[in-house]
Amino acid sequence: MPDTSYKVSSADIVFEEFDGDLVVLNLASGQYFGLNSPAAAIWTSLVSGVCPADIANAGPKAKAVNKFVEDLLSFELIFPAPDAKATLKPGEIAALRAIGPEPLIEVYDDLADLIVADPIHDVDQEAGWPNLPTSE
Amino acid sequence: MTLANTSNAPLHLRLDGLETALRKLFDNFENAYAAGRFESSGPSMSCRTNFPKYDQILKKALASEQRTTGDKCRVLVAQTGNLGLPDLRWGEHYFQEREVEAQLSGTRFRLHYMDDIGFWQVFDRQHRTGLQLMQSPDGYPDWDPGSPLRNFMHWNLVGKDQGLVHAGTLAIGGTGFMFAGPGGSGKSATVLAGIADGMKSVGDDYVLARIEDGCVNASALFTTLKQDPEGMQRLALNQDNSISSGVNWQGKHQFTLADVNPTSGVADIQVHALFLPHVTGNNTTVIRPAGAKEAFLALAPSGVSQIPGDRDASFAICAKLARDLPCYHIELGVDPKELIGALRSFVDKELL
Repeated sequence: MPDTSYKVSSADIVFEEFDGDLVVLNLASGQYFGLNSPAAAIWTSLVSGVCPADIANAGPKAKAVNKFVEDLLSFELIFPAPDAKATLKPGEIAALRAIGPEPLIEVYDDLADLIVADPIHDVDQEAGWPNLPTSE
Repeated sequence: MTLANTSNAPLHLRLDGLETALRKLFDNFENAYAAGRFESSGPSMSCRTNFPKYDQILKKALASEQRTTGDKCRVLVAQTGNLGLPDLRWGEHYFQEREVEAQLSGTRFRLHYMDDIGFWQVFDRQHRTGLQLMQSPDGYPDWDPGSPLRNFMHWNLVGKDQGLVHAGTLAIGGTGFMFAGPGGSGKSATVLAGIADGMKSVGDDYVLARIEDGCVNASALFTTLKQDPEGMQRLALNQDNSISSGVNWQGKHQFTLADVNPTSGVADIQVHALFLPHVTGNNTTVIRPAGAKEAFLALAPSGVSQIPGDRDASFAICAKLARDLPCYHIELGVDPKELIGALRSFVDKELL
């Protein structure tokens, strides 16, 4: 895995950056993910085709990078793409060297449940969005 | 040619060959549209129907066309199988909305279908024509009268720098702001308190947000407001004779901006801030800065989940708004007068 390159798994994966953090949405599943700044820096290099080993060589701990890649694979946000192999750009190296805390990926399950839910039929009719009906 | 009661053979739509079938569906659009007796105009759209009740719903809920916000589209609301249009059927066992969206994303068509009531909305983006086909004149979903034809507005207007967002709005003079958050966060109560106090608004459900030359503008799409009976009492609107005492499918009173204050509705506002309201039960309103990421997470999910098609574009517009606008948490005080006083004071000091 450390020498494998990866790509974003499909056009259904969309993401936006906010002050260094990233919010990723899987349009197919409705799941939202929050990536802190270190995770966002690794994501940027990773989805451009830089392999985890090269990312780890630039600064972040290899164990943390590999764990993060495993998480992204388990959430089906990336897939192995050996042909996509790329090298780190100077800006990416600087960003990875500056990484402080561990890369973190948060799953916003409360939002995911609602987005996967059919907004017309599965949302609580009294309370409206974003309240799911109470289970009976 | 008599179109009004023409009954046609079913047109079975399937994932395979869907685009071709939708082309066929629109073959007779012009004749069918011409047969619609009632016409309503809304923001960037004209709608025809032969259903007088639905025409009244449109005339009440659609914001008036005071300013063209994009190329105009035409939508026909009809009974499926009538007016020379095919009787639409979904030809597979299940209708899976996101699969259909993916199938149509690179095409000129958009499609929404509610299989339990046989409610169809189909849009041709190339010709800017839409069909809302129902099983009967009343065959629309419960929520529809509050924001009719919303999906067509989205499909017609969404672009790189504009789109529908789920937000309440207020403006003081030329300074406007948006309120975003989940149901129960106090968004509508704040908007109502503001317009009762003389502020302006472009709406409290979906509005059109546009980013132009670094400025954010919001335009009215709907006139509708909703509030539960408890909120009406707290805002002293429960004795207002212009507001119907009946409640809608959510148990909420549904009325218009003009019912609360005839001068409150405006076509456009320039947006200077995005507020994230929170009901606290405290006596005092507190306003404090919010991060762009939390503002985005308050603004994006409802629109992205509720409006089918082009969800990536909705996601991107919400991100731009959250990044471009100053964002604030507003912890709402229980007294509407205190809340509005705090909001006015904050706007005077920080946003003017």
